[in-house]
Amino acid sequence: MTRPLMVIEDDDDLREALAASLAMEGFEVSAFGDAREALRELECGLRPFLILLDLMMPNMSGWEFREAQEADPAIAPIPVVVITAAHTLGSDGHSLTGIEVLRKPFSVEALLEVVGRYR
Amino acid sequence: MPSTAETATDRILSHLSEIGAGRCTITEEAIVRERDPNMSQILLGLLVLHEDLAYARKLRDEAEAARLVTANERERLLEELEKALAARDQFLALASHELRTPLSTMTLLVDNFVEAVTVTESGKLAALITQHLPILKRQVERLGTLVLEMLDVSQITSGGLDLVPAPVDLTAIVREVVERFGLEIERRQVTVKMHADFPVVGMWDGARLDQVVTNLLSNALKFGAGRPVEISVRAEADRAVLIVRDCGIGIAPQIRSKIFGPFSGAVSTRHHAGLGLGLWIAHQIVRASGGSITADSRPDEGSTFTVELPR
Amino acid sequence: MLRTRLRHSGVVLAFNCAKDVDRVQLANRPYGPDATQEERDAIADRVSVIGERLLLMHELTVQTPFSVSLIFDRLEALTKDWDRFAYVLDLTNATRPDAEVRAAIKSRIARINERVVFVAAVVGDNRLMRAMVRLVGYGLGIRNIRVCRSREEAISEARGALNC
Repeated sequence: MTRPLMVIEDDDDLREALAASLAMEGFEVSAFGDAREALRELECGLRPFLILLDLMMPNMSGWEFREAQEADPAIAPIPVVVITAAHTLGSDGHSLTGIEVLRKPFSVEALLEVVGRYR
Repeated sequence: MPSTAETATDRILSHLSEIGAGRCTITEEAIVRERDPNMSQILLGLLVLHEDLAYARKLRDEAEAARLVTANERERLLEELEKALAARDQFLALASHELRTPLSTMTLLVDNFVEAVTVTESGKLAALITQHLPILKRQVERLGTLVLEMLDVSQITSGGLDLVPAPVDLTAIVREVVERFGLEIERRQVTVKMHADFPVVGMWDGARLDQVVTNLLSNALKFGAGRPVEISVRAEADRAVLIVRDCGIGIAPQIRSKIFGPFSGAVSTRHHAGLGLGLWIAHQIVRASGGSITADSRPDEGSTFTVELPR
Repeated sequence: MLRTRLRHSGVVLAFNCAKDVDRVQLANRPYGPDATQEERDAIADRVSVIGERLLLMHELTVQTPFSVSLIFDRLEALTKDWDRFAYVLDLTNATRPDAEVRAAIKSRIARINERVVFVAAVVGDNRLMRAMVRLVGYGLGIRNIRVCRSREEAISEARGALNC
């Protein structure tokens, strides 16, 4: 069974477009509009091979999600690629060193090129 | 027995040291009583010296106080400037996010179309188009609204609005706007009650008034928490009164005084899309039309916006 | 106020201490910028021309920087066409000015001092003011100042100085 690709993005339309683009390439996509929900799924055993993470989200931001992920050894090793409109990655004291960033807007080609490296 | 000359010198020196310490025990009576006219003159001279020193000290203290006030004022202005810059930066970050997100969606969707056209069969393309086009259309609308809003802000801050007054019926405008919001009202399953039965006519810029009503209704729907929204239009002797009321999340008291400001950040920018400029633009339009707009609101009890326009 | 006739060099001068009819009675209190127009006029009227290049300055009992400015403004207006003049300074009812008033007087005197040939001060029995005139006169840079016993003597001294 292939491992899914997790997408965490609060904008409904963008999430749908991402899921459609990735599905067209044959990926199995687990898409979430809420980082807390995604975290719950991970804690229940979902193991994607990569997490595409938006940063600016209500409820739980991308930074807060990262903090929670890193604190849990079971899910900490799952690689993350950040997709964001922000020009600085640091926010509220959090930083995301060593993480690859896809700056919005990006083409499907750019998306697939990055995702392909983690497959 | 000390000679008179020594006593006089002692007296003078003692007064001088007093004066140096900021005190003086010489009185006008003592000066007048003094039999030796030279001593009398000297004592007066010392008294005047003391007074001049005290006055100089007073001026210096006042100058110091004024300097402190200026320093405090400068401190305060600097703080305000920093706050304004922070607000502007926050706005720019928001604008960047709001514009880039629909652009991202459009980019991906169009890329998918291109891929489907070149690689796959036409059947798949048709399915893709059916699925993607509504989303694409939504992004175009979103971007359009954002761009127009930013253009309005640009115009208002650089030169001001160019209103084109003409005989306009506010009731008709309200009805048109509510109709335009039909789909969203249905989607949110909100009840919108209208009290706009009679024409209310005045010399206003119809397109700009439409914008005001649109912004107020849009906010009422966004922050109305699904509860009913009421709009009423009525005419009074010399003015028109428009009221838009919702029973939603309301506005926190510390923000209420700033909601008509440009970078008000009235609601956490993460919760609701848009640039947060709708109220500011509405305020500018209403003011330029000679009217007033006020907000009455409490957290969780909803908000009532009242617009008054001269007729 | 008094109207005194003086015989001097065969010419009879009408001597006005102030306008014949006081528009308002000035009180012995400090006057400030809230003074009425009538009060301001009455204060300025304390300076008057009593002869060719000769003025009388009848100092207020209580002086303030405000009263100083009114009086000296009038003085400058009255003397604007004169390159030299003298004045009689009547201090018989004046109280000693404080440091702030002295500073104001000093700065106003500096503006006219070059043209002032003589100041004749009348202090009457006011011993304190007599000492004050001597002390402050020098301090204020008034070069020719004399304490006189009466207005008549003061006027005579002043005329004498003008004629030199």
